Amino acid sequence: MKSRVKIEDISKPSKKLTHLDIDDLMPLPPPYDKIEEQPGWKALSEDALENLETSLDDTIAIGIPKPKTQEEEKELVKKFLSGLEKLLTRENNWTFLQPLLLSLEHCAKCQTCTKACPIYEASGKQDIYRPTYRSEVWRRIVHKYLKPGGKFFGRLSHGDIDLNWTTVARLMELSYRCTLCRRCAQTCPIGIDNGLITHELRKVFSQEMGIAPKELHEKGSVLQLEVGSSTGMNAEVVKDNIEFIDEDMKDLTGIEVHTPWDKEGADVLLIHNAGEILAWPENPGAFAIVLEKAGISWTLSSDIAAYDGINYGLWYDDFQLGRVAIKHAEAAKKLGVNRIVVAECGHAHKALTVIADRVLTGDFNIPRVSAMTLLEDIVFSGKIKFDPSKNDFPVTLHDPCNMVRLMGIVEPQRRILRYLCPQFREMEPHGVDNYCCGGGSGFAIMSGHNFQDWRLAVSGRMKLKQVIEAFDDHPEPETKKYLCAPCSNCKGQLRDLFRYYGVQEKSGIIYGGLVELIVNAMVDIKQPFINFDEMQ
Amino acid sequence: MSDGKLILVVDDEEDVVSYLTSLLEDNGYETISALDGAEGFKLAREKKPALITLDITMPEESGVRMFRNLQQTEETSKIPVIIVTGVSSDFKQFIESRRQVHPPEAYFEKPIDKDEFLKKVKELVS
Repeated sequence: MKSRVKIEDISKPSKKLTHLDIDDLMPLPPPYDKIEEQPGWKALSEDALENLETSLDDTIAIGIPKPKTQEEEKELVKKFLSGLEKLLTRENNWTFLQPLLLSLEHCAKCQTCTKACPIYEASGKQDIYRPTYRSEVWRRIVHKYLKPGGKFFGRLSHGDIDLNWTTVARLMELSYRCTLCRRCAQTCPIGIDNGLITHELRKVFSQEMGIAPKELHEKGSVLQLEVGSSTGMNAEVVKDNIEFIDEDMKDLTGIEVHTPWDKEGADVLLIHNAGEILAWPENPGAFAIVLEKAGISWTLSSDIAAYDGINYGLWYDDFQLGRVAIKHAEAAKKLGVNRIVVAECGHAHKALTVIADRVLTGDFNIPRVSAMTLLEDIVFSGKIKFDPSKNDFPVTLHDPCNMVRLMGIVEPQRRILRYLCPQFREMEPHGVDNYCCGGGSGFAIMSGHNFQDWRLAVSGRMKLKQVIEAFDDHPEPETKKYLCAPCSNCKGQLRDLFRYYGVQEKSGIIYGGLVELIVNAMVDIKQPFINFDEMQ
Repeated sequence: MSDGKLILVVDDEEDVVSYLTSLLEDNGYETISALDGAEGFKLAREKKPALITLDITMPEESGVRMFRNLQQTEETSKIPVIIVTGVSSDFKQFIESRRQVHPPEAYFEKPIDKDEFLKKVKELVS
């Protein structure tokens, strides 16, 4: 049974600030409604409890080692406070200072945003998961510890809080209980961006204290910049793997494709999320087919980082974001392409086309567009013949937050689906009001300790409910259904979610990208491209 | 042809080569090593080891290419291969589901579990 948690409780040492009980979670529709059949989450190991900071809730995302001495704790608190101070100065945070200051001063505490948050709702309304909880902790710290006279006036005007190691450690973990979907920011009547505050806190932890989830940093952006891809594939491996895929495409469709590498002067430099190549090879394969058949001059790049569109810095570190974005632009500049097209990866869209606008200036400001619009142009160009009856099965669409709510790419993919999928139906809510898959902001690749259980039981819960309800006219598993999710990160979360709850077996739903549906509807393809029995 | 005890270790990281060859030699095997796929394939053809441990991400020629070459060459096609890699876990499913090659005999992600690794080596060499 959950109990109320006040803002100031975050500073008071205890075993756990909040305990999650599976009985408190938002109910799921049948056949997923039986609590006793839900997997729940594993308990943290004795080793983790002894050596890591675990006092927020029942899981850990980062795995922060417990400081060994009080001096070490004090030093970390000091670093945190100086990092917060830098965050509020133009010379150290020119990228995000203005919206951050607006969000610092003006929250009316109306809690409108709480109802918009899928994590808060799915968790059974746990106080610490309110979008405002971590923001309010941050505000109180700023007003008390960084404003002149704050120790007296800050406490009176904004509420009290104690800044100690417990506060900092819990706040770090709490900054990884939000998927940065920014549904809260969208619904706020006065435009407060709690998602941005979470993002800025993650920046302080990474940039000033060197603390970030290893999946995002060491195994993510660092590996990408060193080897070329966070998958660990260097250029030789990725080329050899694409060769496998090209051969498979010929066998499957009869269409011969030779993926071009480093073609100078091509119209399009296509950048996939490299995870796609390993986990869903039919997606880059389908892109090759569509681009070839449409007569587009295109290429992939074998330069470091340029064959992997991921940019995890978007979620936790501006420096890493800038480094990767520059690599992407350098590759395009070197090849002299007309435009970069970001394939089906939501966060790569936002990182390279929106956020990188602050970094890619002058010669680096190469046109950067979404695969959604390129695919729409191709589908309606008349260059490829389609038979929509080949896609005559129920299809719904998941809207990746970065691509849709945060960039406004809403209609291109829908126009394609309305044309090519006779049984297309929206899930509710959809478009810019969509719910996150629950794997946003890096969660989909974070599975240490029992964090995967948490992201499937809690942060992905609302999405599962939406998907099941979108097909409630055909709940039987015998009717094969397709969830179109044009984002690698979302597909990673959906893969885990479907396995966790047995969705393919119980409901007959598979997930996949958009371009696969396009190829499946091509007249030239003799056998179905989408295989309902071989989903990975 | 080797007497059944010779193992070829292919990895571009000298530390890994050193670790694996020491581990194998301490357990009674003879080893030879190569630092990329081209050199590894050449050695495999010449020495015909009883087993190959194969890294994937290497310069010049990748482990993927060497894996294909081994299987497409008659004298090396039957040599069992253990992939030992730092590439993300999705690669396991990728390589195991390619129709052009049969799956590797075993697959280990770095850092390896040394006991499990030795158990698998023993099983494959015997």
